[in-house]
Amino acid sequence: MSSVADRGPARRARPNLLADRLSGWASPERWLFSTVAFLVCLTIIAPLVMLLYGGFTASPLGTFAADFTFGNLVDFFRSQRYLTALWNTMKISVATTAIGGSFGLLLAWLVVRTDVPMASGLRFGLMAPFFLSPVIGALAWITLTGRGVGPVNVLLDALGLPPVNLQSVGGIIFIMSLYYAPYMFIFASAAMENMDSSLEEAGAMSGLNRRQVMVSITLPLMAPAILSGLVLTFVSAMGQFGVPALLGTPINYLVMTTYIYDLTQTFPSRFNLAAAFAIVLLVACAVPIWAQRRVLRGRSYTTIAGKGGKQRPVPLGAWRWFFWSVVAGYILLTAILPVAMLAYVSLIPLYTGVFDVTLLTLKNYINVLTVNQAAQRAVVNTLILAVGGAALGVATSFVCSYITLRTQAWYRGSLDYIIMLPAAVPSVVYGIAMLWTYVFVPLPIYGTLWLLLIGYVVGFIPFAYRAVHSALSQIDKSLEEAATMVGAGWFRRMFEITAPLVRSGMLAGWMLLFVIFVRELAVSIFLYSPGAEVLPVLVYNKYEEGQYPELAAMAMVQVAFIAAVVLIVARVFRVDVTRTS
Amino acid sequence: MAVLKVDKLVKKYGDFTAAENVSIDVPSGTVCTLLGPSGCGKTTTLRCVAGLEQPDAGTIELDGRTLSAAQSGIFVPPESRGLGMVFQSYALWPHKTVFENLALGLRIAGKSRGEIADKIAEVLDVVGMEGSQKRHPAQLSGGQQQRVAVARALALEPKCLLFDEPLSNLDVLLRDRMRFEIREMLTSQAITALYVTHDQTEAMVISDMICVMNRGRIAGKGSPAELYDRPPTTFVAAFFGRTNLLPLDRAASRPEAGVVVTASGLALRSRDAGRLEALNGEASIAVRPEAIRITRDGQAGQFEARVQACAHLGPNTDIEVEAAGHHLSILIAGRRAYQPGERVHLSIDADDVMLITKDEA
Repeated sequence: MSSVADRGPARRARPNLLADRLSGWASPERWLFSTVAFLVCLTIIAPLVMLLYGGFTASPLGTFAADFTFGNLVDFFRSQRYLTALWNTMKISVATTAIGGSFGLLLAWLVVRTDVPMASGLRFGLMAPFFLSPVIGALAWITLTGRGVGPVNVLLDALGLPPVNLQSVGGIIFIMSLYYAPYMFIFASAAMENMDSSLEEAGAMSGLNRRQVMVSITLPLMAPAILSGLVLTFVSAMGQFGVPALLGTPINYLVMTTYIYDLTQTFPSRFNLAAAFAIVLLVACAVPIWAQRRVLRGRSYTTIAGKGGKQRPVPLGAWRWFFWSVVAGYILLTAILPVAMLAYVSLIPLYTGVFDVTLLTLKNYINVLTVNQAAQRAVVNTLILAVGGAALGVATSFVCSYITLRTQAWYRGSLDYIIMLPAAVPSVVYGIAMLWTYVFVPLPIYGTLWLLLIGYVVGFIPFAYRAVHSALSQIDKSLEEAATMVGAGWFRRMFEITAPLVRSGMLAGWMLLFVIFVRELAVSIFLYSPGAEVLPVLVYNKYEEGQYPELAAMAMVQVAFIAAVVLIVARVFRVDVTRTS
Repeated sequence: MAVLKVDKLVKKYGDFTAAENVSIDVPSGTVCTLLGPSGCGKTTTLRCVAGLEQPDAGTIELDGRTLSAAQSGIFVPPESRGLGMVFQSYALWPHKTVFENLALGLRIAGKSRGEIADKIAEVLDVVGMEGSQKRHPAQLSGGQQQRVAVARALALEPKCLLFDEPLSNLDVLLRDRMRFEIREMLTSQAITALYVTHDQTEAMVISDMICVMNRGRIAGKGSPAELYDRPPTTFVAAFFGRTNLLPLDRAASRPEAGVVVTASGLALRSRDAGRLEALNGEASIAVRPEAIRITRDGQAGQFEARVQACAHLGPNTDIEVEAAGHHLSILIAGRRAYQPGERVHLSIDADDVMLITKDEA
């Protein structure tokens, strides 16, 4: 054995007092941490502050005056029409939460806890409506139920049943319930999977039958997850803009979100009142979130976070295939049928309801991708924003997760709180709030893609932060310390050790943001401008013009982007996309 | 000359003082162990030396270079200290092969590809893991991961190696063997090391010097033999091997005759009787279990005891007895059977009867 020590030190540590003295606080990562944390907090909080200003001032958008007033709020609460919008929002959200929430719970139970056939395939399929979004779902369903020409109505007519008209309160609730069911499914299935089954077995050993175990053990243990799923569904429904804009606005059925947009679009635009509307909506969303926190405070999740262990699936017996068809039927209604219909409509010259393969043409795609310049720009812009915005969101989430989990920075608690704040703010509220903010910012970003980029990242960063944060919290700190001890500085450690280890968390976060950004309408519709169009906005415009084939082609481009990214992340990078959010 | 010098180190977490006035000198080529129960501050001290924690007071010097001096604001970040560290969890990077695990530090140090490959082959040979370059940590057993972790720390030829309970995740048999292997490797390579463990046997095998820590302070330091034969305090005596502690009756003791007397009047000849006057505070009489001789027939100089329990521990027999109101544990080699209630006779050499002061607090 050769002696390692007597050949002299490899790294000659010469005493360098000045450098040693400085190295303690001059580390570059600390500047990165404080800069990122400051920018994140500023970009999240500033719009909310400016929204308050807008709602409590009489001076119009873009001007600044200290003329505090309650006038806008008084206007809101005095007008029957405005209060009706609030009432409509509540009605739709409660119905959506009740129907979508209970259906999501049923889906989760079937897929996770029973012996329903092909559970893992169904599970993957159940993510499709979540990725497609209510807006694309609504567009597809409009073509499915077009008056006299939609195949669903043709079928109903043949059966002697009355046609459905989606442009109605029922239509809005139907679409939102269908597409919000996955929210509860995600929360409930995660809780069911992580449930420590020995608790249920202990119940069985104490003489409880299956039903009693379910009622007195399983459900109470799942209560926090169910409550979280309900609150998330309710708040998301309150903030939903696309579905009521597509299905309610044409029949003059307005909710809070669509009213806010309407106030900024119809002459004379009333931005102050819109800000007041947004404040009311924000408070309406904050109440259930606040109540949820209060209820869950001090509640221990440890039983839920147990190691899971093997759970014997509940045998459905003769009902197996019946329940299989319930889940499969749901996937058919929310994903397969809508996408097939969109694909078909995108390939015909005119939407007439006549099915004729000889009419099929690529003209709409050629139009979108080569002729229509605005559409071309929108495709490119959407891709840039989705790829770049998701990357920026994930990078920011990484640094912020690192700050909150691994440093002793004095601001780490506030950062952890503030970065999750946008989850409680409806996108439309951020849209109008961003308008009130960036009109004052002296940087040339108003009316450019940069504004959309900031709006996207700020509005949706909680999704990426949650994914990266949970991945990083599972990495043993000593892996990084070991890199420190072989001489690696912070950037090197991140690049060589930490980032590769949280890769799947970052990919999941990136995918989620990409998918959201590709179909983002509520923020975009406030912040886009000619030259900086994005696909969802053009789709919405085409809808107002009634040009369904071209609309369908653009929607299919979005679907293609979403499907490609989800499949690549799931298959190539082997990230479990059913457990990402 | 001391390569590593820790002077009056203090580390606090809020109101809790994890390390209080800890001073350690580790001479070149020797192994110093911090030994103590969990929460005694040993790991905190090690992490302060590594630079993973920032001390609140005191200085740390390595080979004449000040690594940390709280008062003058010097704090060299861990990556610039030139120390190697072996972690309790091994902390091998799961996404890198053994070669890549060892190569990272060498790359950062600016070594050429050839040098890196040679060095890695050399240190893997030292730890007995030659040829494992292409394997991933998950493909290695716990003991093999441990060796690779040591090799990774050795590869950079640090001035001092830090070990944070490196054997506590191994099973008992492997742990027994690895102790000797690590000791043999450290001495043959003349490596200076600071070693943290809560296992006194491990500390005795590995160390040239042991610092027993309790509640953030060093309760006693010395070579393993010194600490065992002359524990400075009751805490050290109790933590460092089993000890019978008997309350001392100062007034009844007769230092001039070399005799100390227990609270219940048992008189024992003690090597420390002459120090009785010099002992401050409360003191106890301490006797190691293996220092007590036991016979069935009484002889001069013995005292009587009654057997309470007797158990075979493989190579040894553990006998619990009651003598003059005191409870005593006796450990004798080989297998001998005593019946509970049996009368026996005990004797202890004066050289094995120690006087120890009680720890404060």
